[in-house]
Amino acid sequence: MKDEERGLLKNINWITVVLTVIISIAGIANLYSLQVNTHESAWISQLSWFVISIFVLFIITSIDYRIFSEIAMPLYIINIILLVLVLFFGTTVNGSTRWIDLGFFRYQPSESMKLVLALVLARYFAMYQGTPLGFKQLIPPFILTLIPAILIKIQPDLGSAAILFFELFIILFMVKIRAYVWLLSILFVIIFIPVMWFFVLNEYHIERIKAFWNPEKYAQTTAYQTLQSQFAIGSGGMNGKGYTKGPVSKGGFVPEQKTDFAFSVWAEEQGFKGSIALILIYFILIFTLIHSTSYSTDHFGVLLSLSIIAYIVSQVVLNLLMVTGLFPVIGVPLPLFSYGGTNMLITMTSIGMIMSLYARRFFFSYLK
Amino acid sequence: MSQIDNTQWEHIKKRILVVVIALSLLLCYVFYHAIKVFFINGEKYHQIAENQYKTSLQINKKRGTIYDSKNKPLAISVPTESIFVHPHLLTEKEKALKILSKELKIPYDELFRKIFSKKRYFVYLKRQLDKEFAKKLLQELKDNGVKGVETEPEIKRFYPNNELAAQIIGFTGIDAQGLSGVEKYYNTILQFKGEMIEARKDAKRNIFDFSLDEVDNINEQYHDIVLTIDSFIQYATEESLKKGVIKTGSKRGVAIVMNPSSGEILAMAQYPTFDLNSFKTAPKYLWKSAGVSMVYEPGSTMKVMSIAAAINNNIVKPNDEFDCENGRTKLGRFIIRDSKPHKILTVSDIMKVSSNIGTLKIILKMVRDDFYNYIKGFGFGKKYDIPIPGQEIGLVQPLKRWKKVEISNISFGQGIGVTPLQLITAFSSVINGGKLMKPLLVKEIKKHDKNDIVEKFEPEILNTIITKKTSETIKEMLEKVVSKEGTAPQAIIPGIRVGGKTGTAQKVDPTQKGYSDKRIASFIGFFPYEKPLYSILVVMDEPMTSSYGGVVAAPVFKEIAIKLLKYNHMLPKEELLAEDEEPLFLLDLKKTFSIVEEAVKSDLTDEENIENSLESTMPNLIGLDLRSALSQVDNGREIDLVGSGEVYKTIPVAGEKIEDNQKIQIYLKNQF
Repeated sequence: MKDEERGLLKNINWITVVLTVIISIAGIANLYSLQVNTHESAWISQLSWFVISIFVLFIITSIDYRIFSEIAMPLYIINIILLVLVLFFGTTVNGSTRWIDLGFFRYQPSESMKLVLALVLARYFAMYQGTPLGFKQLIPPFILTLIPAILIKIQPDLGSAAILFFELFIILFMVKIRAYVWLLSILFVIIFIPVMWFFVLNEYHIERIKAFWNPEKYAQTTAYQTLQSQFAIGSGGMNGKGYTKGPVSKGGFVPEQKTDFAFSVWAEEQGFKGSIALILIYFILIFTLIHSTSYSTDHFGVLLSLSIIAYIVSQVVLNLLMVTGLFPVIGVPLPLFSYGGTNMLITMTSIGMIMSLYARRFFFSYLK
Repeated sequence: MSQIDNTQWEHIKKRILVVVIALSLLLCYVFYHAIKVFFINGEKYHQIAENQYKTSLQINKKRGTIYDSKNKPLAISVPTESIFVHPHLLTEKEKALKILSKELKIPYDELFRKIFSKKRYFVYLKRQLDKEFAKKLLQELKDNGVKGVETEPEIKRFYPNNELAAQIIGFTGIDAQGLSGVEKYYNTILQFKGEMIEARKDAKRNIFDFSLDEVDNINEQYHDIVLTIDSFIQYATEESLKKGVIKTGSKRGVAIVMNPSSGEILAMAQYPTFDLNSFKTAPKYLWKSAGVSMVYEPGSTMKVMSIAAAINNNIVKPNDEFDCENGRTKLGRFIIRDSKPHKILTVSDIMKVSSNIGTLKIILKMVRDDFYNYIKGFGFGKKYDIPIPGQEIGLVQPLKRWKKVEISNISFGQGIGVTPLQLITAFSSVINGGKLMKPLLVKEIKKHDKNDIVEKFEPEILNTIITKKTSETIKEMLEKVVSKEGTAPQAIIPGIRVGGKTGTAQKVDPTQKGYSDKRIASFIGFFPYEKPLYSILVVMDEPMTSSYGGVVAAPVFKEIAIKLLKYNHMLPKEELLAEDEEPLFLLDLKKTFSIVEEAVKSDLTDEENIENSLESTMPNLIGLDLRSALSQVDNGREIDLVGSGEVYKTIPVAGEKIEDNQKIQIYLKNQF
């Protein structure tokens, strides 16, 4: 045990840490830029969460990730209970009931569900140790995903619900599955699309999709947010308007610019250069995480790591597509960058797990 | 824990590769799209965004001074500070609110609501505060560690003489834009719009970002305007008119003093009037200058122009005789009357006793077109280029409607609509040797606070209508009007040769066809006879005591004339004493006050003060404005006015005896 502990610090993937910190600090700086005019102290809260989260990240790194396999199911049940509680006692912001008010901070169970689901799914599929799976074996993971997805959808938070399914999809893509199951799945999805249109999507989702295809028509209503976001990004130009000097963001034209649309503030003030730099850092981080995964020696590690990456990537990509008007508006934050304590904490915890896996690569390597 | 064997790894690695490739493609797409948003659509988006947030603020406005002909300021700009707060930047809120509440005299709760009730980036607390006061307040806030309260310079228009020439000068709105009178007409010349500074507004259209530092004062270009109005004459005219209106119970009165040889308007007064510094509380109809906008039938004063035309046209000679038919004649189906029956009158007598029948008989001898051309030539039915908004054109019927009856009516001033300005300009041309002078209100326009004259308005002859000889003939006739035998004995000033003409016109009843029993009584005159310096028109609208111009308007003319003579040191002293002019004038005033019971208290004290001033001791003028000060020393003395605003010093000092020929010096300064 002692040898392991000693090697841990040496074996930490510092590149991951640095990239994570850079993104977080950029996010805090971005929030600080907004307070110049609004005088809101969001950045202080985000900074405190950053300090707590980075601390948590190192603690998680030092813990053997395999322990999470053991507590995956209890965590899952607790999180489901919290999601149910949210529906009854949650705090409502902008028509969505997503938060449990703990006084000192608002906890968002849908964020932690993304990680907990990754844990549960990884544990489940790891049990089959790489044997090709039939249709029957896919029912439990589908139900495990469906229950929180429905609970989150009710809030409503379609974006987070969709991300849970994306996790499931990635994990299914990684494990061996019989060919006929794939065919059936594709068929199921094709049937599911019209069903989704009528039963899953609310009126405002459909409005948003319509607005997405025809933004000019909905410029003052549904498409307002995306258009304003694009105006902000577009006016950034090559070098941007300068830190704290973006008139679109300072004027508060883009709704939700602290949270889901934080990137528009960054793009306006930092311009093309700053935006591309930020996007590149995200992708480097993601590739670093994928690289770390390749050192994994057990099924649980690989699958956990990949589903974590799946939901981080899906959030980054969906958010970027959304703020640039390439995807209808669904409430997906930019991980580490957008304002939100739970998201920061959960993302860091997730990264911590992959780092834990990477730090133990030599420890298990002889088994390979 | 289940370990992964190599074949399993190969499978996962392949899948990861697929994911990595997919991610890379996505990355490429994001790059492509970023380029599109930033560069291809960037300019368009930038433009749209700019239109949304860009706005401008105008600051550092300036406005030139309006002076009278003696360079006494009539309208000045007082620099003030407007205080505002940035609610989101406000520190030491409680302290700040306490200080502001105390100093600005706004209740704490109200102030709190004003600042914090809505989410705003800045809130005006009070506009146009005294500069020193604002400076002190800011310092006090600063000393208490308060941040987020700032001031912005603004100008406030101040009229040192309150109601003096109110309709001529006009006034400005809160943002110092001219709303009436010269202030409006010359708005663009007087004003310096200030610097436009770029500002930004937020999604709720509140301005949230602007900088006062960018402002420089290099390009300030604005002008002062010097009027032909002489404050003293204007004041004297206003006072006399006011007394006349009150005494005769008239609805209103208008009086104009003009220099007949140059066309310069020296005074244009009307009563009732209003205080320019509180124009908002005055009824709007008072804002209009009656001198240029009142259209009325001039009545007998028109005979001056008619007879001048006939003599100039060699139709009649002054001694030609006409049968005035005992004051009653028939013209078609109309009956024309004179106020008194006359038999045979010379042309000169017709003017003297103001016979309508005589006048129409003279004019009917003229060729119709000639008479029409004379009337047009005297400037009736035309607008003058004069910088007072709201000028009326009057009413002169088109030539084709000039039948016998119409021509007769016009000859004695009925059936033609004129403005007081048109009438005095025409009259001045008759007595100045025949030249229709362009009425002048502005002497010059110069760069602010510099003697750099941009535009000078010289006297301009618009038209030569009658010969010098005719002019002299008419002057002779007009002098006879102002005699014991004429219609205006009340205009006689002993020792000074005065000429003039009375007029009484029926007012058209707007509700019925034809004339009502209401009258407009007027008098138009000039002096001194030899070389006329002043022509004065006094118009009384609906007088109650009498309807004759000779009774209602002539005394006002006389009062103004005496003041002007004193002003020019032209009044022969012994004559004045013999006639005991001044005490009479005061008696009238006392009577006036018994008639007008609602006269305000300050006016009553004025009356007492005037009596005191007769005793030749210097009254206490300290703290008074020019108007009240002059009303107390206005008894034929030479007065030297220095500065404007409030009196702070006089020579001699209050209570001291004033020697007979002593000059009084009054020093004034602004209370700002």
